[in-house]
Amino acid sequence: MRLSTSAVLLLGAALLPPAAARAEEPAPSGKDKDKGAEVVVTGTRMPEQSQRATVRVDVVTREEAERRGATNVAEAIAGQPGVQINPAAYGDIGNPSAIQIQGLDKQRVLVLEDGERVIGDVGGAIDLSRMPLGDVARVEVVAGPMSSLYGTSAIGGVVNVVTGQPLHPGFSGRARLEGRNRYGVIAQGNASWRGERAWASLDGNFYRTDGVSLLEDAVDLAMPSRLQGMVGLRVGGNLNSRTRLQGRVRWIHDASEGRQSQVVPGLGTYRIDLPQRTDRFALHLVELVDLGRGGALRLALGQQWAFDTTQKDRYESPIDETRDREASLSSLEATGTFADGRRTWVVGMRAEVEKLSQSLTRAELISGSVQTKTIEELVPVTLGSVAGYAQLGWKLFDSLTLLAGGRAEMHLRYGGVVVPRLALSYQPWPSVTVRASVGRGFRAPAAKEIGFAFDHGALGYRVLGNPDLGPETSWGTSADVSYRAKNGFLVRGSVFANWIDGLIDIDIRPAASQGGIDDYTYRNIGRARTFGAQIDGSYTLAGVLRAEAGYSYLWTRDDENQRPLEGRPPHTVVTALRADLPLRLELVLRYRMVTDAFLDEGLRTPGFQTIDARIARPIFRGARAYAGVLNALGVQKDPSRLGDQRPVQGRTLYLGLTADFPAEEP
Amino acid sequence: MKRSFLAAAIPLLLCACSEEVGKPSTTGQQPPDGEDGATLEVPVPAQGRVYVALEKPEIVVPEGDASASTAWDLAFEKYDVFTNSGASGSGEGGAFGPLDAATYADGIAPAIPFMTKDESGGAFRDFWAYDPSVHVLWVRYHVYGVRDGDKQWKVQVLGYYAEQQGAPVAAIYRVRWAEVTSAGVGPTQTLSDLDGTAGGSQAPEDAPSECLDLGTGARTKHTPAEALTTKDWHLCFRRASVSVNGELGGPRGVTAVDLHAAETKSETLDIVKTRTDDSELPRFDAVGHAELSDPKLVWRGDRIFSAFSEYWIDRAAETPAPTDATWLVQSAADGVSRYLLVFDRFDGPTADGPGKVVLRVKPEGVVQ
Repeated sequence: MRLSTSAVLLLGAALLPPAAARAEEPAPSGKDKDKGAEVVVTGTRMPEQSQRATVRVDVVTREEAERRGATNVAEAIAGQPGVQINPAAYGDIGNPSAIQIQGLDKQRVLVLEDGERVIGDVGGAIDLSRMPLGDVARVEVVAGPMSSLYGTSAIGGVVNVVTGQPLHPGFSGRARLEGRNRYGVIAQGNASWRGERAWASLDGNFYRTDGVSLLEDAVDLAMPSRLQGMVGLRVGGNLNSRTRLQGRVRWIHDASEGRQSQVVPGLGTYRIDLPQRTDRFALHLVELVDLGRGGALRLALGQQWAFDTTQKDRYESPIDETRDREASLSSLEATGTFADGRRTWVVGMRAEVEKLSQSLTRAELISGSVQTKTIEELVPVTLGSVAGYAQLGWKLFDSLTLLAGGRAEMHLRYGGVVVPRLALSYQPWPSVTVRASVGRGFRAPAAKEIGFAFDHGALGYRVLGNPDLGPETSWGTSADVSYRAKNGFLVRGSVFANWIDGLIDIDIRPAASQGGIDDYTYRNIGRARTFGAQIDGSYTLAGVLRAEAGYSYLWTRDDENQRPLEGRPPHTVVTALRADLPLRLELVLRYRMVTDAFLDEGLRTPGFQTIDARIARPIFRGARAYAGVLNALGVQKDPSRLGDQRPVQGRTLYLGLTADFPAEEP
Repeated sequence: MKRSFLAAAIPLLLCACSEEVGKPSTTGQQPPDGEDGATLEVPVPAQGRVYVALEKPEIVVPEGDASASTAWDLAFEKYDVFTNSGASGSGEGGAFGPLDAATYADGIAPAIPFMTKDESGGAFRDFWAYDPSVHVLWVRYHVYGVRDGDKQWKVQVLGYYAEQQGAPVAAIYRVRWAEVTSAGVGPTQTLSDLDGTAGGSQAPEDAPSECLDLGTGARTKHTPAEALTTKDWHLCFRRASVSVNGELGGPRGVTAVDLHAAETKSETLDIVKTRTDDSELPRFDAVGHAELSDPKLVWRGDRIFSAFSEYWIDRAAETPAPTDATWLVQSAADGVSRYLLVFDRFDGPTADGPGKVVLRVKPEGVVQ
């Protein structure tokens, strides 16, 4: 059965709960002097203070991201304990900065922008390096299965990129200009206006860098040159005393120029240019209705389009290939929050329609003449789903909160999925929080896995999609305890475990053989487990010194192939030190150690250590100058070492200037 | 507080915290003492096939079209053994081997990622080595004997790519060949533009490709269907395969043999990549009438290959005998059950067939 986009959205609208609820809204960014006072929304869809949140949420604010020398979301959260972002591990699919949480990655981690799922994956992974920080207020990371609130892909965790709104009345602005080696340039700008009843913010972002070649005099680039641009407009206003509207429109353009050589037996070496272009447009409208007595309703309409073109452009030859991918996502979501004494209900409905297609245009020599043919590798496919979810937050005692929820989701292609979740938060003393949760996660089959056709018939095989796939499902459980002393000392410890069934993978047994060509397809054949533990802490001394340290342990098992999951480092250590020095200097030092990781029998990617340093100083009212180095040790992938997944970029030096208008008082 | 930490650590303590690779030890099904599997005697007819199901094991007669039946796991025809898979049958069967003879006694096969399905081919089926890192084919430079009646040639494939419009194009063959007689070796002939592209990768399956008559040097283009019914060629070049006009390949009765087939298994990609036309010319020149007259060579047309082909006969034995090795065979009916199999002996072998094949079989996981 197939429904049109409008039909599914109307169906979703008809199923909206008549009752209203209190809206969640992005929290103001502010300065993160006190991390315990941060307001987070991703863990429960309700604004909560992070220290008292029923579900642990890690936050990286834009200011913290800049201290880390980050230019995009990937770099902003790469140093978080329990998170791995290692682009070199996904090199064969274009070096996307894919994230691993609790040992799970690609389609098993959900990436959101203001609560809206991001589309336009690269080989199944959302490339976080394609998400600039220009309009980002903070990034929230929740580990563990969250499908009960967010649906598909929320198995390993959720990354929610949250935009803010201007706080300063009247006109305000912000700018960042930075230069890096490899001719890197970063320019970020923001101009805002806030009146009594409305606000608007115009955002821009520009970034470029040269590519990285790891071999002297080699044609090949291990990392392509890159040019990225973003333009966005955010607006908001009060329709009346109870109703507010917010809107966001954004265009992100990402272009890269890769290059590789191909050694052809008997002929020699050929150069192939690998240009890539991606354009992603996002439109997001939210209506927030305050119903009084703590009740609110949030209605959200989302629309995204992603266009991606990759080429294999043979140097000085017309024999080329172009692969075009188009994706769109239309969504309607209503979320209500009801406060009822000690109980708070969150009830929501969501309907979405996703469309994808992929074609390959190939110029070939046929009987001496160049002929161009286009085939559909992914026949245009429409995926629709309708979901309902509910969550009860029940403060059983002042110190004990129960969170119970579930989601039922109906997919037009593969039927229904029901995922429950139960969480407890216990505060025996104001300084101690103990949390535990158990829940299910799931991942709906991707369009590629359903309808893909990769024809390598000339070499005797094809890979075909399987329309009979079912969703991957998981059980996950976690527990954490945190202790926050009044003297600025915080220590946290956590453990987790996940069991994933029905992992979708290519079955190495041919599904069919005909005419000497074997057909392979995707099946729900895999099982995996991940377990882990983490301990981290921080200490703030009189507001002038802040030290952080964390250690993460990860154990994974691919039960189908009886070995660990590939590219999951078992041990990670991160530390950071931020100090206010004399002469109004701010110093940030960061250290990260990642141990070696399993790739294949007898093959491991080596461990590595990185050190980042940054120093900043106000130079005049509202403006700060800064300089820094990323990966000061110059750790870099060795191209001659098989399976080396260490960073491709070596040492990066940068120098920049930020300015806020009007300037905030120091 | 200590209790909380202890409770939190329990899930980790319960799991094995090492990165173990490989299967856990298989306990398997413990057989009665002294059990060595079941023995089956399979009389192979002079004409036609005999079918075997391994579960009991027993000889079976499939109803109707045998290729559509899943009632059999192995078929014997003269000195060929087929599995119910791929080009031989519609079953979920297949086999892997040869494994060490001791594997049968151990009862447990090593971790095997895939089973070999039956597929069509001939002497040239392994003329290339695949480089998965860049998806290209490197020719092995083996020398092949090709025989047509009382004429015979030696053939070497030199290349699979040619540059056209500034780009490498696959399936443009370079070959050299020479007629070999008892009087000596004729002049070497070469061709560097044999078109096996068959219209490119997007072309219909019935697009024609180029074929070659080694005697006259005549080149013709045939669709696969035409090649099966015409006699004006010895070798046909089609994408990544080279077919021979004999048995399943065509009506001319041409046979061929890979003179360096024994080297294939030990040839790494790195070794193959070092070979050039010049470095492998001595290999070509070294083949003469004596080499093509070796009685141990098996000259065949195109046929169906299984995991048993080429390996289950002990070529070094004075009289035909099976190789002392173990095979892992997958059930055609369910695609899951696996059996270990050894061939004990042939009773009454002739030049045309093994006579009676005596084999032993047991489910994988049963330790002797």
